[in-house]
Amino acid sequence: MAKGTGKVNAVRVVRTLAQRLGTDVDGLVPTVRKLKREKEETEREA
Amino acid sequence: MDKSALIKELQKDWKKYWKVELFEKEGFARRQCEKCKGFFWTLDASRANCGENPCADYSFIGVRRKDWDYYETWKQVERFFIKNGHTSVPRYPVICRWRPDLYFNIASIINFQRRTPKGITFALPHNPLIVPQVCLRFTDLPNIGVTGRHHSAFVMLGQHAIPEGNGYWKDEAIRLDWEVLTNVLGIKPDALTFKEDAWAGGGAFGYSLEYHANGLELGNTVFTEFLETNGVRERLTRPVVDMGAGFDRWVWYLNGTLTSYDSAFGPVLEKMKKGIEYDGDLFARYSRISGALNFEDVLDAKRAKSDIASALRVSVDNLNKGIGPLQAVYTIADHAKALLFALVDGGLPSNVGGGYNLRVLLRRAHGLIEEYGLDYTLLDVMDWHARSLKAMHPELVVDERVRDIIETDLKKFADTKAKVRKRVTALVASKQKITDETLVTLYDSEGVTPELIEAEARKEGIDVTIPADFYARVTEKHMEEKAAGKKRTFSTESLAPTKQLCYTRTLEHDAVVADVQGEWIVLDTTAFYPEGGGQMYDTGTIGGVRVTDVQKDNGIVFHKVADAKALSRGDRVRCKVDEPRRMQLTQHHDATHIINGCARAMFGTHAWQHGALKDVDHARIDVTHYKPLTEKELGELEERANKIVREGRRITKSVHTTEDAEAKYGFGIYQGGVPWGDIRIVNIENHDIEACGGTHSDNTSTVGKIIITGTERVQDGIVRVHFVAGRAAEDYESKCAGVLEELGELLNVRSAEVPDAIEKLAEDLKDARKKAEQAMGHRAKRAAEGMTFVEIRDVHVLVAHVAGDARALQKMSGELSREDTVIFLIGETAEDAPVFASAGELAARDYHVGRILKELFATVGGKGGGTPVLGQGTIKREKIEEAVEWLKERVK
Ligand SMILES: [Zn+2]
Ligand SMILES: [Zn+2]
Repeated sequence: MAKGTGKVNAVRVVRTLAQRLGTDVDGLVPTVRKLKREKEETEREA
Repeated sequence: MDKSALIKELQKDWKKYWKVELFEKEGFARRQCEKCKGFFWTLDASRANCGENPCADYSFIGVRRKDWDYYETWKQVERFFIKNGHTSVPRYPVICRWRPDLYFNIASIINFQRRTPKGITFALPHNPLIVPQVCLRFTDLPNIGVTGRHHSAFVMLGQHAIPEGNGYWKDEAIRLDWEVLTNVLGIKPDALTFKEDAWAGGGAFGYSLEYHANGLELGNTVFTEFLETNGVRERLTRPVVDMGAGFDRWVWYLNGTLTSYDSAFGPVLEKMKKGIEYDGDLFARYSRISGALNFEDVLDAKRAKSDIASALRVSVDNLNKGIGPLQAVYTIADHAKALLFALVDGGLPSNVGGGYNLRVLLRRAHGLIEEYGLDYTLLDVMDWHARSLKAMHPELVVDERVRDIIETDLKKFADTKAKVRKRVTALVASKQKITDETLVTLYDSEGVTPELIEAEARKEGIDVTIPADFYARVTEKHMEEKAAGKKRTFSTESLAPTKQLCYTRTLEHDAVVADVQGEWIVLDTTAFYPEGGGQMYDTGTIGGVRVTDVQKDNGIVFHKVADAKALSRGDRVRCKVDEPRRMQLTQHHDATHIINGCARAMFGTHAWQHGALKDVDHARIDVTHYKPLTEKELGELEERANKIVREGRRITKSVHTTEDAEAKYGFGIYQGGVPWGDIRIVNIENHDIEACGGTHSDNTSTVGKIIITGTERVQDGIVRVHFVAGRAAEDYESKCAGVLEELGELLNVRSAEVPDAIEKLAEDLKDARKKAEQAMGHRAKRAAEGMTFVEIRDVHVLVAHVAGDARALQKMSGELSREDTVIFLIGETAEDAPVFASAGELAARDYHVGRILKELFATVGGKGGGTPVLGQGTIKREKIEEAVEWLKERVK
C-alpha cells in the first residue's frame, strides 16, 4: 500500500477485518497470529 | 398509602371533601351502597347501589345513544371544553422519556408530573387544559380480549386544572364533568352516580369522585391536594384537578356495542372478523356476564372458563369454539394498536425493560393469528388501525421502518419456536413435568410464550395449564426501576457547593483548599470536570500535586490527588487542568452528540442514546436499534458524522427550566437521562439537541475527524458504536497503517493483500480441520478394530484407555457402539484425561452410564455425568489406571 493515500483505506480495512474476526485494532495481530498457528498445527495433525 | 384507610379517614369529614356545589344545587343525596358499602351521590331517590359494576349490572349494551364514531365523539367533547376556557393539548408520546421510573405513559397526569429531589411536582403548560392521552398498560393482559372492556392501549381523556389564574377547583371541575356527561353525551341525570373515592401515588394524594352510568365507570376526578413525605403530611402549594376518563368507554357507552373493542376498533374489526366462524348468539349472552370478569381475582383461567360455560349452559369445548375466535380477534386488534403507537413513538420490542412488554404483545398477537389460521398479518392489522385513526392521529403510519422492526422480531420469533419444539420434545422424552416455573423460565430466558409450549405439548398429548396471570407476572417482574448507578460516599455536610468553572474557558486558576478527606481534596472553586454523563474526569495539578480522579457528590467536587499530605485546608493553591486531555474528552463528547443525531436521522425515532463513554483514547455510544449495524450502515454513519464536522455547525449551550426546555425542544433532550432542576441544553445547530452537563466546544469543526472503529450488539435491541475523534482519530489512523503492515509481514504479503490473505488463511484452516477430522476418524477406526469386548450377560462391554481428546473418544465410541454395547473410554491430553461413555438401547436396560460415571468421579475424583445412554467428564491424568480398574470391576 502506497504511503499517504492509503490511510483512510487502512482504517476501513482494519474495521472490516476486526469485525469479521470479532476483535479490535489491538487484537488483530494476535488473532491472526493465533489463526496461523492453529492452521499449522491442524495441518500437522492431519 | 392504604387507599381504603384514607377513604375512611376522609369520610369523617365528608362534607368538606366531597360535597361540591353541584350536589347542593341539583339536590343530590348522599347514600351508602347496599352491596359494597361505599358512599355515593345520586339524584335517584330510589337507588340502593353505587352504580359501579358489579354492584350494578351493565345496562347500556344494546342501546345506541348517539350516531357518533370515535373521532366525532372526541370532537364534540373537545368543543365543549374549549368553549369552557380549556386549551386542547395534543397527546404526549406513549414512550415516557421524561420519567426515568416509567417506560410507558400510563395516565394523562403523567404528562404534567416531574420528579424532583423533593418528590413529584405538577406543572401545566396551560390552565385549564384537556388532552386525549394515549396510554399503554400491560398489567391487564390476561383480561384483554376477554372481558370486553380491558385494553393495553387506550385514550385517557385528561382534564387538568390548578386553582389559580383561569384554573379552577372541585366545584367547577364537577360542574363541567356533569355538563359534558349530561349535555354533550346525553346521559340521563338520574342514571349518573358519583362515588366517593381517593387516589394516592408518588407521595401525592387526594380525594376523588368516580362517576358511573348504567354499570359502566366513565371517569374519576381526583383532587390532588396533599403530599406526604416521610410520614409528614402537607398541602401541595399547587393542588391539581386530575380528571381521567376512559375515552374508549365513553364511545362504548354511546354506541352500546357488545364490547368496547367493537366501538373502539370498528372498521378494523369488520375486516378482521371476515372469514372467522363464531357463535354470535352465544357471544351476546357471554358479553352480559363478561363485564364482571377480572382475572386479577380469578387466578385460574381454566376454572373461570368452566364457570362461565356452566353459567351459559354450554360445554367448555363449545364455549371455546363459539367465542374463542372472536376473543382472539379482539386481542390481536388491541395488541396491534398498542404496538402501532409504541413503534411510531420510538419503542422497540426486545427482551429488556419496556421493550419486553412490546415483545409480549407482538408474539402473543402473532401466535393467535397462526393458531386461528387468519389470512392477514399483524402488520396488516396495524396498517388498518393507522388508516382508521388517521383523523385523530395523523402521525400513525406503518412505514418501512415499522415494517422492518416487526418483521425482524417475527423472524427472531420463528427461530425461537424451532428451538421450543426441540425443548418440548426433550421435556416430554425425559418425562419431566412442565410446571409454571418452567413456563416462566423458558419465557424469561428464551422469550418462549406459554401458548407456544401449550400448543407443542398438546401435540405430544400433554396438558399444560397456563396461569391466568402469567403475563402479569412476567411483565411485573420486568417493570422494576432502572437501578441507580454506583456511588462513592463523601461527607458533604457543612461544605458549600463548589463553584465550577468547567463550562468556561478557564483551565488555570487560583483556589482555596476547603477540605481534605483522605486522598480527596475539596476546593472553593474548580475548573476540573468531575466524571459524569459518561465523560471521564479531568486530570492536572493542584498546588503542584498530581490530580488522578475527580468526582462530584451533592454539588461538591472532590479531587483525588497523588499526595494529599502536601495540601491542607485553607491553602491557596494554583490549579492547572491538563489541556490536551480536556480537549480530547471534549472532542469525543462533541462527536458523541454528532453520531447520536446521525443515528436518529438514519434509523428513526426508536434510535435513542442508551449510554455513552467518552475516554481519552476511545469513545462509544450505545443506541437502541433492533438489529446489528451492517458494514454499509457503519460507513454511512461515519460519512454523515464527518459531514456535520466539516460543515462547522455552531454548538450553543443554554440553561432552561424543565418546562421551558421541554416546550422549546421536546423530549428528545432526554437522550442522556432526565436531570433534576434546571436543564443545560447543548444544541448542535440543526442537528442534535440534548440536556447535557459535559464539556463541549463552540463548533463541530473542532472535532477534526470522526472514525467509527467498530460495532457490537451489547444486548437485545441495543447496538454499540465504537469511535475515535480528533487527535485520537489521527493516532488511530497511524495505528491501522502499522497493523496492516505487521499483518502483511506475518502473512508474507503486501498490506493491500492482507484481507485476501486472511480470507485464505481462514479457508485453509477450515480445510485443515476437515482433513484432521477425517484423519481422526481413520485413527479411531483403526484403534477400534484392535479392541475387544467382554461379554457379560448378553451385553458387550468395553473399558479402554486410548490416545486422544474428548472428540476423538466420541468418534471412537461412534465407530464401536451397537445396540448391545456399553463402552467406557478414557483418553489423555496435556492437561487431563477425558472420559466418554455410551450404552446402546438394549444395554441401557442394565447399565446407566451417566450414573456409573458419577460414581467413578466420586471415587477417583473428577467431574461430569450424563444420561442412561451417554456420559462425559474428566479426571486427572494420574488417575487413569485406577479409573480403568474401577470401571472393569464395576461393570462385572
Ligand atoms: Zn357498590
Ligand atoms: Zn452529552
